[in-house]
Amino acid sequence: MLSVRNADLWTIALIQKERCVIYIYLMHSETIYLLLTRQFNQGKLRAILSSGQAAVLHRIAMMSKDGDWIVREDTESIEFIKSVLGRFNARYRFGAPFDERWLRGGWSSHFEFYHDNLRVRTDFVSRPPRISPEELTALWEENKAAEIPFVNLTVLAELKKTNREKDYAIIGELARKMKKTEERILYSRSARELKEMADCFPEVFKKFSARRPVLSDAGGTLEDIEKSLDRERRMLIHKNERRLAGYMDAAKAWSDAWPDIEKQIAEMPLLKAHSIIVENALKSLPFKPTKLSDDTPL
Amino acid sequence: MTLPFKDQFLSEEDLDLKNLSEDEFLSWWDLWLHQAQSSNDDDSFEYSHGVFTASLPGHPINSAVSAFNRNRSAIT
Repeated sequence: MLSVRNADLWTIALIQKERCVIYIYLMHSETIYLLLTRQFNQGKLRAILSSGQAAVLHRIAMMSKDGDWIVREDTESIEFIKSVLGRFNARYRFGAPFDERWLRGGWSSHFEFYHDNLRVRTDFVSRPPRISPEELTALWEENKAAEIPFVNLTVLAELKKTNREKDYAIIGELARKMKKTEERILYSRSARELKEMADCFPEVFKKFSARRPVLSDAGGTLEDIEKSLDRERRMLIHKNERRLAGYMDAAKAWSDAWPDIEKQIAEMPLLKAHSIIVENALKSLPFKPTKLSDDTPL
Repeated sequence: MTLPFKDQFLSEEDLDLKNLSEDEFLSWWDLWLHQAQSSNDDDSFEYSHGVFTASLPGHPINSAVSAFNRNRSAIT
């Protein structure tokens, strides 16, 4: 079966033969992360592009070399994605097995391969931090017909509440693109804009001040709001650090075992390496960390 | 009151992405990824997202695996 899709200056020819998929780039090729997203979602929505490459698709900034996806927590989706990665000769990096038993516990799985002179890293979670089950369900629903599924502005803003200072600048720009006033108020990183919005929408600020304490200071001076924003950023960074500390504690035995495991799987095809990884992880990586900080929902 | 300055989070080049045509955008994205490869050695042990903050630096097998991966070609 040959199907050809034309899109402006480039054409991708997809040839399926005996369950092998061969992609031929006829003129220009799309980026590896778009290509992977299409392949992951062939026939069914299985993976939503997230984090840095989603920020690119929102036309915010080019800032990441790696690809991150939120994946469906079901065996078919995970096995399909793994088979795609296998065709790219992906190798496991240190991380959890790409298996719903661990993904369900909030773990992440990490792979790397080389393609077209690019080091490609692919990272997967099924339960991204700070996204409620209801928000996750809505995210899957809104992407069900998307050609390239990727996270929306508010989900991306939540995902960007990381340990990295630079991610808070991204949240600031994401907020400026949000259409709903409430969302701009909840995510703005600009003292000036918060002050202006506080004058225009005092009732909204009052409504959400418990959820975002910065809003209580928006009636003060610019300096008050800036200090409050700085305090908020520090608080979010520390909160994420506490969350990660729980996972790092739980992964101690796994990280001790990893060097020998990595040596064992170094030249194995991915699917075979995966079996070794799972066999070993069952001995030393809990499905779910037992000790997470109180503010880590799971 | 309109304040004279606007808080600036990103550079003008970053923000200009929205002004690129679809083809320019996709070409620039691919070019950026290729240009960014120059920092691979610096961030070889880093993780951008997920619950793992670093792989195991200094372990000799990490270098061997990376070299092995670079020498293999993907099926295309």
